[in-house]
Amino acid sequence: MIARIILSLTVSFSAEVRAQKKAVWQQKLSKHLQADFPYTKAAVRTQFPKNNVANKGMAIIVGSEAFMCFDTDLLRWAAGWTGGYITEDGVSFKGNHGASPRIAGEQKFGTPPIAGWADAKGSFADSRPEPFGPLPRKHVQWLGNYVANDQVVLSYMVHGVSILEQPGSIEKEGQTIFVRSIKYEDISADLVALVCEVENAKGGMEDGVAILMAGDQVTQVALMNAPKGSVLEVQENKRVVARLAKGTKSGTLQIHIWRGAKADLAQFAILAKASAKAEFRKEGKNRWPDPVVTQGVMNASKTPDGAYVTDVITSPEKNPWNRRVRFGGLDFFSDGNRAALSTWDGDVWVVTGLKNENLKDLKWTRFASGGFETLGLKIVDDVIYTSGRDQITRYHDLNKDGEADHYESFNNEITSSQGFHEFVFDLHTDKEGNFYTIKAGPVRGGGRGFGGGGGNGHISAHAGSLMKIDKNGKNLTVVATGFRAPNGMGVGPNGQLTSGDNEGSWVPRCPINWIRDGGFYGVETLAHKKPVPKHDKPLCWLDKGWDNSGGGQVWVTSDKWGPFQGELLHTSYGRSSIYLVLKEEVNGQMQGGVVKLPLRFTSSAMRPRFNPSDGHLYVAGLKGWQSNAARITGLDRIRYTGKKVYTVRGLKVNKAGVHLTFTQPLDAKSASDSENYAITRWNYQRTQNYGSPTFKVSNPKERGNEGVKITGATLSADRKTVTLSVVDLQPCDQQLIRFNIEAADGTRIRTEVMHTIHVLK
Amino acid sequence: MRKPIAICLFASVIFTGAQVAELQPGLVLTWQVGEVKSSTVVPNLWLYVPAGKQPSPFVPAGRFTATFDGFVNIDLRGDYSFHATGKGGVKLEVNNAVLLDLKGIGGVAQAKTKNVRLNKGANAIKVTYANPSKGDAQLRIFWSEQPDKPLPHEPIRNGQLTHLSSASLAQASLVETGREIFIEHRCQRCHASEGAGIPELAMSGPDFAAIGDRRHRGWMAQWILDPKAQRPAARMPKLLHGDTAPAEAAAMAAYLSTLKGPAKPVVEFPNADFEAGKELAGQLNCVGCHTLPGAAAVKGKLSLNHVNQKFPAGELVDFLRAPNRHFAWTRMPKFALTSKEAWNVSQWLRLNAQAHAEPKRDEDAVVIARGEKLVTTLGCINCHNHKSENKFKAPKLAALMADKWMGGCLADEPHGKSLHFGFSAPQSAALRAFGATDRQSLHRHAPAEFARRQMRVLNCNNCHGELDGFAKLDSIGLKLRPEWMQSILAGTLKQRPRPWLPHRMPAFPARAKPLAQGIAQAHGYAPRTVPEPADVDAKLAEVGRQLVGVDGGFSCIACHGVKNREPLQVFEAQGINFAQVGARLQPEFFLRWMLAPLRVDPQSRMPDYFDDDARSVLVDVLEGDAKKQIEAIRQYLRQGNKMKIPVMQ
Repeated sequence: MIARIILSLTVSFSAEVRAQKKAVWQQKLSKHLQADFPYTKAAVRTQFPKNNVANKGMAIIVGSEAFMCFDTDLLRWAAGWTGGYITEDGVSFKGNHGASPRIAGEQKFGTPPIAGWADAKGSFADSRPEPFGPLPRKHVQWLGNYVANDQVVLSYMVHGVSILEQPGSIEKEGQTIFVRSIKYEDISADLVALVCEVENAKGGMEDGVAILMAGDQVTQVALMNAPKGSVLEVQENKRVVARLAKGTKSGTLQIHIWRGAKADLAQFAILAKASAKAEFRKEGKNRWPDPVVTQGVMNASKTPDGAYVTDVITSPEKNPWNRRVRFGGLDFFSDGNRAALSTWDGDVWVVTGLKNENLKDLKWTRFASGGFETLGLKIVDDVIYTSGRDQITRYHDLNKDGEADHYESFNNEITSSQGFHEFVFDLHTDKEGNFYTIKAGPVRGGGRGFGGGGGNGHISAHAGSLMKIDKNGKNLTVVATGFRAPNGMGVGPNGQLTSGDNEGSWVPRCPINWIRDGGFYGVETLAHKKPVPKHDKPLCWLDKGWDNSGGGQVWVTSDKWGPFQGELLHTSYGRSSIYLVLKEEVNGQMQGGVVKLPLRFTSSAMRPRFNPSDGHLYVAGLKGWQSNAARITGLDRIRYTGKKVYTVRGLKVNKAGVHLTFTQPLDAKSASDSENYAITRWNYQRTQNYGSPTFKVSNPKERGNEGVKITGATLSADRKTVTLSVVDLQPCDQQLIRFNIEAADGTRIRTEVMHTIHVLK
Repeated sequence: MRKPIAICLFASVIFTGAQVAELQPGLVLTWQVGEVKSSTVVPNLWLYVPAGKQPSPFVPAGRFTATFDGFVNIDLRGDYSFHATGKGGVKLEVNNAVLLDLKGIGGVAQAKTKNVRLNKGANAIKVTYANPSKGDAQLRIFWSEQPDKPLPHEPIRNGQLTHLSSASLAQASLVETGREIFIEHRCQRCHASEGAGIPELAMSGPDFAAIGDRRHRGWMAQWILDPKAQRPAARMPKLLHGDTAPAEAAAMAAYLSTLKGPAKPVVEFPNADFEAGKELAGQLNCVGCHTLPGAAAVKGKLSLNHVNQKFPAGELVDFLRAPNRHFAWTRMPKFALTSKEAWNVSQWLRLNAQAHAEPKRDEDAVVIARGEKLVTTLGCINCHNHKSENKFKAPKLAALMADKWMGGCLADEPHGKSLHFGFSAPQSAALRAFGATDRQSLHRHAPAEFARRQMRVLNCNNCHGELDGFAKLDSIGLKLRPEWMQSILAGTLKQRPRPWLPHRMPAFPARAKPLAQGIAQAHGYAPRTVPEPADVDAKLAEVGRQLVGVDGGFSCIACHGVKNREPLQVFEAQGINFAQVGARLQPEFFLRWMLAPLRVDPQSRMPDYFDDDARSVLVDVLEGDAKKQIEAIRQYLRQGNKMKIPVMQ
């Protein structure tokens, strides 16, 4: 470890000395956490004051055994503590449902969940409509942070005044002083910073030092290097605040915070004299200069017709930093040779070598870390953006050394409570440059219902919503609501939005949603509208065996990817599969179904993207919750080989029957024999129960499926479309079409169509 | 991954020439021993008959043939293959083509047919089986819908096997029904001299010991007077007829109410939590067999409106906790309720049931003596255990010629002093059909037949297939080992396999052993698991341990607990604790389940990790061979509580 603060005078640390001796907390640190990056973002639980959880917490390592947690919603220091870092609790760490990390040492100071800087009236009261999301921008605005080696510099505005703040510590003689070094521009308004609160305390100011006594513990705060007119103040016998006078010219100051036993009271005065100087550096040296080199695998799987193959872009699962690699976002740089991937664990990796012959010698480098479950990534003009639970982050490598230095908060309006299931999935742009991301609902541990507090979280404003953020990051607006766990979405070339979802409460099966502005997609407790609006029906439902946890969608924009240009593809996280979506609009309602492209993926399938440069489809995935995925992560390329494709490519349903269009002309004998087709159908019930049993279409109360009688199969003149005449064709939630036919050239076509009929015209 | 199945019950009409006949579920199974033949309907193509035992109550023990006849129905023309496992000779014909003809297979053998194209709709199937000259008879015929794939054959799904009814089959069914009515109404307890070796002969009625504590006198009087008025499906006959009946019933009840046990310790119950009681009554699915107090009557379900009339204070709690304590063969299930749970349910039922205040009655020695005399002379003691001289005499069964099966207790109308069952016309017809046989079937216990019958009598399907987490019982014997089934049915399992389910599987202790063994045999398995010859393969088990873990495995432990370790990431679908699996599942089922869970249970949330070519998604372990990986996991699971904990995070 390297000192966070460069200390002058009496206190000095040598990097060499520390490197030789790893602190106990580092030796004991869970493999799911990292000590060699200065912070971890999570919903961090503390020890005091009551209900003090930093929903968007940055747990920062500020000394050899000192830590501070910043809350980027309230711009407050939620806690400072010594000893251990944070626990490995949490779904993205040790995997548990419910509790998030808590601080793992002895807490020394804390603040309640109120504003970190007073509002224009001098009040710290939480003015938000609900205790989630950022404070109003006219009050404060979180701008992001810089990482320079082991130093973190926070950047934000208070009443229009730009502030940089660098946390640090003075550790000596068994005592720790937490140091907030603040660099301010010209102060054009009265600013009051919240420093700490001590419950059941008594105290006041003594020689400019704020002293609060509680039991046998003393908390002392001192302002160092303070400009004229800047003072500390003790409010309500419990709260220490720092006033920065309006009119002060730009400069720096430090707030020193210490707590200890009454017996050690004098120590503070001595230690506090060790003035700590922060550098407020905005760039650092690349901490991960060496790439991890992997070898790709060509032709790892193929469709039975040989038209599509997968190539494995072997991931850096084994890496010198023992980081877990679980890809949650994927996009390409303009050179087409490089892609960036974000991970659930908060890292951003860059892979170079997509153009390499046979995918040999793929170079993986780490670009960024510390993100809050970054499950979406988009590259715009070669700049990386990720979506996480706290914000959309824009990354800047200021010194062009291959590691991000500036983690800019592009937009942090999204609300996030403590819930373990508040995933923010995927990140896309439309042709105007607007961004889209989609947030899960706070599903309770066990899978049924939402919210309820604690580790299950709360139904905050954006729970279960699809959101749009304008291209400048200024405004976030809700496009559609009612999603449960939509692990992936899509934006079409014409701006059409789509999403998947995960079976559960109010979601009887996984849908493919065709999203309209203002639409409501099923979860009544996450409608955010009263009365609950009418459910916007999905394009189709998919039975369990097809998809039990939807991934993202992608439109075939490539002209090198076979006969499906302009079509929509859907991935399944749970079934690690990819499907061609068959769709039609009837009376304004989209409906259709899917046919599988039988390929095998290294892990799950959840982030499909075309590389505009090579025209191939790349699919990234992870295994983090229930899935049949093989490996913990995977990145595969689906390449069209140029061979003939044998499958269904179109589906229409009307009163005349079910019309299936194939990619190849069919053998007239087998295709015109109705005995070679079978149709089964059933309905679901959308309730608060988890998923739904199947019910008969003929008797909605009776469980089960039923066959549909097919009376004829007619082949079109071009021998590509079969029309099945069906007795009592009806709208139904789910219909499965199976067949046993051959193409004109004798190739057996073995696939099935799973679809939904909303409207029969 | 693998395609899910499409279960489909298609049109149940078959066109045979000009005739149109209804297809009925199940296959016709005809047993033949020597010249004795008997037909019945069975749901599948499986059997197990221990050496020297009769295969059916209706044929004697000996060398036998079993002919299954009917149709296998499919909804899509395609290629299939069949697979026979067992011992004995087997001939399989489909659409009149002989696919298998194996005579006298010795030992356990397996045989697979070549691919056969089946037509959409009904395909005639006939299986002729002959038991081996030595050893137990065993047969299981499975099929494959993907015969070109290296996957195990599967059971033909319930509903896909059908048959056409016939006059002779109808007659055989009538006899079966008659036998069931005979047994269920305990006819043999009065008309002794026939029947031995079948477990139902032990069936009695509720014990009279301390009955005066357990039932209100007023209710007993009503019940004795006319059981069917209280409960349309009552097994007990009406004893009393004519004007004197009410007074006689009252006297008998007065006598019975003097039968007291030792004073019970006073139990203090807290205030009942009615909401909890209501919720629990819902979770226990009381409505599977009952209508709740205040609810409208439903045919075939027993109303609970009468609980206040029937049970004195505190007695309903005891009854709910152990309904079998004084009546071993009661059909009321035992739910292992805590006393608090039983208290809440009982008080909730009482709150909603018809109010009742049991009147104080004077003890009248004359009336009681009259009641005692009636109890000892009317036959009560033939079914109800009571320490008193039984002065009732009924003719022996052998003495009752067929024409007698229309009079006495079976007469259309009650007359004289005879007991009267008040059977419906179809029930009487069935009883007479049974009476006209040689009734040797009362000597012959056939466990598979017993199990099928008891599962119907106990209303198993009122919960299974209806409640979440309670799968249909179509093929339960292919899945669970008989010892495990017996433990569940006896209520002796130490830990519930699925403690997270709100519903619970109750126990039926008196039936546990024959029922479990019968279910196994009905599915073509031995009544006792044959121990595996080899010990756990430690090396393979260690691979299995890695495969179930997080690190390089399938992360099975996201949903499955291991011994005392809870799973971390359960969403709705918790899995069985791994320590229980080895003792629980048949190995053949485990392989099929692991390969394609949705083909076994279309509602399962268990992921599938293997494809149609039996390849694993984990290509680096055991050559990516699904069957090898599954076997490794099975070896790991075989260790039960001795298993080591896998990597869980």
